[in-house]
Amino acid sequence: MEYEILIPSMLVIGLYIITYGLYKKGLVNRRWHVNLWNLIIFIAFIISGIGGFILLFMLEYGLKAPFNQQLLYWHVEAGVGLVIITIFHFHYYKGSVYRVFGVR
Amino acid sequence: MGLMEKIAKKLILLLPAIGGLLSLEGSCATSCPYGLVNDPYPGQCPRYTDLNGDGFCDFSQTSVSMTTDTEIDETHQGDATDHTIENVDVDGVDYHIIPVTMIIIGLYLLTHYLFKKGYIRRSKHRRLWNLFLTFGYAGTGFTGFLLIFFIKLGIKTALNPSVTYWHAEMSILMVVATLLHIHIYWKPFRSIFSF
Repeated sequence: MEYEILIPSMLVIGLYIITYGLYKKGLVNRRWHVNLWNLIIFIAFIISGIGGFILLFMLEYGLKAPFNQQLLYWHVEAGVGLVIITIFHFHYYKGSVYRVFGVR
Repeated sequence: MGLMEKIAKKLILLLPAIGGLLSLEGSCATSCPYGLVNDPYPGQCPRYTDLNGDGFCDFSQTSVSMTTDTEIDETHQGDATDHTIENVDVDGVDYHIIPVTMIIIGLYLLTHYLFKKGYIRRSKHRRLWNLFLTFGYAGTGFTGFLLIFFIKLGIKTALNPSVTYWHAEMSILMVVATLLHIHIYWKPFRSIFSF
């Protein structure tokens, strides 16, 4: 099973640049851009986070399902995307991030 | 019939199917928990075991390929000892899912109670849980990237099991804290489905 790092990373970065560009050009409003990326981060979290949690639970309690291998693969791929989307999440909520870390 | 009763009846009907889909380890004690086939060195989990030295995790190999490997070994090494993966302790790692989850939820309920009673400000409560969430994401992301690079570059060190262990522990914090984050920001969360 060969994991891809560059393809999901480039895909996510490219898509963010497009929607950020659309927002900056005034073609979409900030709410649309933020809601879209919140939806994407939620989907990535479901696949990677919840998927990983299911795998961990099954590993811990000795359960096995035929979808484990596929779930592990998509857990990793969505995880790669999730890391990058999390950085974007910080980017569009940078005001809140500064407050949380006491920067401002 | 109420909605809850309908859901309960459907769940009861689904139980045998779920039971059939998930098989207990007892019936396949020596197989890969992830269902991987011929998982190459260094393996994708800390349980990587290669007693026959063929470069693949023994748990991910079928009994046919294991037999073939054993036959090859026997022709080359007459005095080879009989290695069996049944002898390996595969349950050495305990990830403490339920206790860690309970501690995090308990801590959240405590700070939520303190905020509701006015002992701490709402902003403090949010800030604390945003910090926990960031810590969980940073830990899971960092260890996850270490693991993926270990797998891709074929690096096997004594640190691998520790990295996997901490990846799992941090991910428990990440998942639970994300669900709590959704609870804290419930109104903005609902709006993401209506843009």
